[in-house]
Amino acid sequence: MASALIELENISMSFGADEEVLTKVSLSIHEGENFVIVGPSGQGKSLLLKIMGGIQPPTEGRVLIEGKDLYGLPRDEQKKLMRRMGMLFQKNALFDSLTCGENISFPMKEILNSTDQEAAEKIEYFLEAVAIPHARDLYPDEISGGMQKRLGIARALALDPEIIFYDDPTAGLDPITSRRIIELILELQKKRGSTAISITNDMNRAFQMADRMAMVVDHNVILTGTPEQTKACTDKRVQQFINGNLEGPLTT
Amino acid sequence: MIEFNELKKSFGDREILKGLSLKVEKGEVLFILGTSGTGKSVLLKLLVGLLKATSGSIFIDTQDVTHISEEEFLPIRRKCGMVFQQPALFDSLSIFENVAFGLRKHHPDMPEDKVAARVKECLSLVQLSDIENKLPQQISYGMQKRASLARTVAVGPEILLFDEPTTGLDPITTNAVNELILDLSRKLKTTSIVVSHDMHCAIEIADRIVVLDKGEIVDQGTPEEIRNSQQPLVKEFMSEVVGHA
Repeated sequence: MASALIELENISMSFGADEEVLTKVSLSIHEGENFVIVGPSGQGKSLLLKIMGGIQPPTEGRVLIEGKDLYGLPRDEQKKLMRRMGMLFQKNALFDSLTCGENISFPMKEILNSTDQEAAEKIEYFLEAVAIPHARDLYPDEISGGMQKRLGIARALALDPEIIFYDDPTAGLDPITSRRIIELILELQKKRGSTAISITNDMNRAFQMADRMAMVVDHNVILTGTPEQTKACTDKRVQQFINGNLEGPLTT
Repeated sequence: MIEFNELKKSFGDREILKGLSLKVEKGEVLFILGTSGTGKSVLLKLLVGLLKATSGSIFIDTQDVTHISEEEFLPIRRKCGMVFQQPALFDSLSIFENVAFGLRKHHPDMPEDKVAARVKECLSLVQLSDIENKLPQQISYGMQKRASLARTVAVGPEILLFDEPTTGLDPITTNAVNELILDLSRKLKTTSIVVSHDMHCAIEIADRIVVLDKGEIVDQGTPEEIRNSQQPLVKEFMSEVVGHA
């Protein structure tokens, strides 16, 4: 059994006195696992991802990475830890004044001190892998939304992170491209032995990707297990969500 | 009725639409499906004059709109309500004011009591009557989508154009938006064109489905015909629907 790589201990997150989004969430994620988070909009999925990724300190509780308290570490150690993580944001967050190729090489040079030669090889490899080789010299606003998404994935993967967070990696992509993107993510992850934590609202993709799944709802996390266990989960909220039913506990 | 004849559109040396012909009947809910980057959104933009065709023609209600001027296009654009992928609401205005905004702009002479009545009517159409004084950020994303629809239909468009209306939404909101599109199209008797890659939605609510690939129509038909199609791309799209069930 793989050991816990990321551990959340009683994480609470509130904005102001009366708006608690997450209440005492505990969760462990194993090394090498594909963990998928689903749930209705506005319940705190992205927030949870940002808390795990070192971007948003929680109001209460601890995030342990390999047993180390992420938000309690001295700044330089925290930075070191975060360099092993990568994140794909919901809105890609591309540099619009850099070409697609430069979007990939810029963080490589900044963070990994890569040479031009190394960067050029990675650009070629990853643009090919996400099927947009012709976009290398174009700027982000010259390519479609789906292509921007793929560029965001290429940029995150080029940094070769051990832990990678995907916030809705296939939103806005057609199902065929989506399936291929997930295949690519899985393939690269397997090669690298990395751990991936992803958010998606597309149940087909969630089931394709997940070793284990969880749903964020009502300020908490319901650990639903493998895709098979999730489909068989008896929680009415989970059933309503995965089937997209208009009537049920989530909509009353 | 809307008619596209031998429509071509190129950007530089990249030909996006390669001689596309298509008729959309009045009152029809038509889905245009295809992978990303096959020219679905380009087709919508050509229709409302945001882009100009390289060759071929577009007719809206027997009027050739292919090469008309920006000024001539204004009254035609009023017939078309565009629903964007994002709700695109003004975040400093209440939901009521968001819906009233377009109405006042299109009908500057409309008295305020008429504006208010129309806003309320449209908000009730999308089942949002009780939240008209809230700001967009105080309501859920699904509700914002509905408010944005109310704003679009308030000015009384004859044609509704949807650009990927359910993309990025959770399964419950997706089904709710679908129901809304169908319900509104029937109630308002609009012609609706929905650009999408959600085959599940298309099968559920379309009168007719057109499948685009690399700028050409590769298949079209009723949901039933598309469900049984042997066209490879259509089959690949369909496999997602089966997987969903």
